[in-house]
Amino acid sequence: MAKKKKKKALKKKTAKKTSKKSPRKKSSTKKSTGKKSRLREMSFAASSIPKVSSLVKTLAPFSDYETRALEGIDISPESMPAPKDVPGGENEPVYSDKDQADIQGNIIPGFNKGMQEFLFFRFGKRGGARKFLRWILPYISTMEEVLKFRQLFRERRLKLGRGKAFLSSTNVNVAFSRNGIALLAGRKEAAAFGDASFQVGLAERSTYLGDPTARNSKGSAANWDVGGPDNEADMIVIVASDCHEHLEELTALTRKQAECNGMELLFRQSGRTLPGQLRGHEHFGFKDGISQPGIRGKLSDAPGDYITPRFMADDDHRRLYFAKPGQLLVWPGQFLLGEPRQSLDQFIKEDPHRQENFPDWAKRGSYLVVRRLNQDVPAFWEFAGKCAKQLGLDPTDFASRLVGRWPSGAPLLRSPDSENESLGADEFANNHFLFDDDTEAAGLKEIPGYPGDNFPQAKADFLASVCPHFAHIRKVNPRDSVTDLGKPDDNLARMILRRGIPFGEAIVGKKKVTRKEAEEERGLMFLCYCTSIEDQFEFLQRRWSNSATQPNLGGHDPIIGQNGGPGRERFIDFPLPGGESTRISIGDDFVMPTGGGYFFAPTISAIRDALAK
Amino acid sequence: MALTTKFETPAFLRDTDVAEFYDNWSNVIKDEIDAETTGQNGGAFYNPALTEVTVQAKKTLIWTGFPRRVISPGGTPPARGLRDDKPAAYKQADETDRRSAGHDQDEYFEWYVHRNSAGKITRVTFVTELRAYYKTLFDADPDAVLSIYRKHVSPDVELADLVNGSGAYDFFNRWNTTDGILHYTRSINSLEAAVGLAEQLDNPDPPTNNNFDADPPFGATTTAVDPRVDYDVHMLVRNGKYVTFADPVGIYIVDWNNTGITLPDGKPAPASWWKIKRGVSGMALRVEYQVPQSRDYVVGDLKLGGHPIRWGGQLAEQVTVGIPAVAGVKKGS
Repeated sequence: MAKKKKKKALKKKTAKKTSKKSPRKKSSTKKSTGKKSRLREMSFAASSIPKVSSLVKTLAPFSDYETRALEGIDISPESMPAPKDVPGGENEPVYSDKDQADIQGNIIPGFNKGMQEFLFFRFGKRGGARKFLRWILPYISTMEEVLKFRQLFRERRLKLGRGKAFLSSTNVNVAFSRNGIALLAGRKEAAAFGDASFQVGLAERSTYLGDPTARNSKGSAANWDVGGPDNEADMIVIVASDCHEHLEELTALTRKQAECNGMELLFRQSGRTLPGQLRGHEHFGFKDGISQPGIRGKLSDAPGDYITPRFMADDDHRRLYFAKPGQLLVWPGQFLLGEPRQSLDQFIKEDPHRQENFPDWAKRGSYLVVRRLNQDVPAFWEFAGKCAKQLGLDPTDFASRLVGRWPSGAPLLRSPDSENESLGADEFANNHFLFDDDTEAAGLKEIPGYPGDNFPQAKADFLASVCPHFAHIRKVNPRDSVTDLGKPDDNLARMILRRGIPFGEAIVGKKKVTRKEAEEERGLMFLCYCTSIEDQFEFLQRRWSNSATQPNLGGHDPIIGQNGGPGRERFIDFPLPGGESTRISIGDDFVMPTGGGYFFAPTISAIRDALAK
Repeated sequence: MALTTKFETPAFLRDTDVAEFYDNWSNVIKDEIDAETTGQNGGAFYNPALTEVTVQAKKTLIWTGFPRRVISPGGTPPARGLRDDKPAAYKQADETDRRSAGHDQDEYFEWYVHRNSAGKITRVTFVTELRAYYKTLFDADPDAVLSIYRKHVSPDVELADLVNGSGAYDFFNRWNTTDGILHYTRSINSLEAAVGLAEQLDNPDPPTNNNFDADPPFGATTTAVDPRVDYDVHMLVRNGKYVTFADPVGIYIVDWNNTGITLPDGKPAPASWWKIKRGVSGMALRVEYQVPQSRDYVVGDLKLGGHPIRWGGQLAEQVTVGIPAVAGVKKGS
């Protein structure tokens, strides 16, 4: 009873807090947009768990989603006729077998495993830490190894059709914090990393990222499970596998070796792709990871042997900047230190000046950002349900406007009015759209078994009436849109390689959800690789997602955006028919950081020669 | 929207009782737009005093105030900028010589850093006020200009300090350069240039279908603001819209991000330490960041994202600047 009263009081308090508008922001947007509000402004505090029965009703349709034939790995570039270089294409760097055997495989091409373990360690004595590194070195999976397995897997799948491949591999990668590097290689070497965010670490940058600061908030760095001011890890080990037994065995072995060498396991987090039909979706129910950049570069001098397979037809000029329709090509120096990197001003060109602000041994390594992000699924869907009811929309329709895609991954721009699961599953269509102009159909090479992109092409949405400016995918990937930094060329230099995986049990799609299940922790282990934490990961989070005005006026990113100011209230200007919009306040965070760290993932040779020696 | 008969002052400023000034200012705006809309490229960037358009959307074109040219200076071949050395970029932008019309603060956003005897920052003042506004105001009412200087820059300002040898208003006077700031000094930070930006690509050649393919013709600029305005206007025009700047025409400080600024004890700094000194919320023209004097520390004792605030540029990077625009279809078309 006492608990109930407390909850009620909290709810009342929150409601009062959220109804208080920021006079500056309110007035600012009203004046600048001049849009009349047809509905009264809406403000919801979704801090309490909604009735489980209503939650189940909202989430149940997710169990009906089907995965379709054309997902990811099924299309094999090896099966295509006569691979050749892109006519008129850029002179891209070649990574020999030796080079590939030196770069960690989760950076390029990414493990893409449905089961992963994340082990956060603190070092004891230097000697023990180095001994552990020498032990783990042969287990570390390289770019070469991961690519080879991927090729083998594709070949097996081609032979089998959609049958189970019965192939598995187990991968390991490692990365180190600034303090970890200081202990292993000395302070001078650690100080030679020019990335100022890496130097101070995630906990110190937490308020800058808009994370909660209240002492009693789980999202406050001081309360994080790992990566807070008092529990920062020196090293992270990622173990990933298709085989549960191998995963557990290698994880246990790693823990044992670490313990024997005086290292302390600060935290362990298991990551698992969501089960069944929701494979590849995140906990709110939406397909994740569709829009990854293509990486420029080749695996050999052989014609057409690109890191990221090229599918654009020779007579489509967009072959110069798309790997497949909508997948922008980015120079590898955005993800590997010291490699040719993206020009900020020339869309398809490399910057003639390579990055140099790192110690020599760190070349071809990558910064790794890890964020353990809790997702409040009940709060998200309660918010969506309430807003949808007031606007006369279906909750899934409303929630899809927040994301910019339907749950299947189908982009609103190509299917404005309803879900289209076939479109969501079509990797040659689900990422092919522009925001500001009509999108022209893509010319594709002949792809065996692919019938062609026959979905309606996207229409110009420069007024953001279909995919709102606040929509998550429009915030973090403005594509062709101009931004606060000017030309869309710059957008390419902000892109990151995302390597996240969900953690916790899914409740979307379940026919029955108990209160206990609804209250359990779940979320996303967000991982990304980049060569400037400040200009890539932090930029996307703070400058665009957290801002109601950048890259375009229209509200905060309702999924990952955070308002670090008092009250943490966010808003979105939700578009209405006729060009008007209504402002909707969001009282609570649906996504809350609960751990993480800034790390550096060196090459194999760097671990061997500079850190473990 | 009916024809505009008189253009307003930026943020509806009322700096003088001399009525003639407001007519003069309206004419300044009208002439600037006239010169461009009837120019060689005269196209769908329209003069709202002469062309009636049904407005379909209002959009504030926003950009980041910190100068991009410091990070990516361009040139042939492109010079190495300070992309990998932010502290050096902040320092360069802070220390640019605002007495030169070609200085680095070229994003229609200029600032002045106040320091104490120990060299710590005590205040940073940001402005988006136009040179033309002060020239027009000075011509109509010099005392009004003096009064603004005394209120916002220093009580020690004298009228004689503000004029050049021929008695005309001097944009580069000491109170607007070495000893303070009231308005832009950079010549390109002008209304004429802003209007020109919007107009110059409203009828582009060669034609382009999207912003990706528009890259080569628009590729040369090194600022954020030029492509922001160019691309957006071009995109609206190629989608069949007529475009102009919204009245009151002005360049405004639209927003700033306070998160990540922390006190010496690590707690978040209040957002209220950002103060609008001229203009209004959403249309601010002069904003200052200062720790209240009741505290025993100054701006230079704070941190931003874990780094001590040593340069005004660190705060300038938190500021968004914008120009409101409207788009629609020509009446009767």
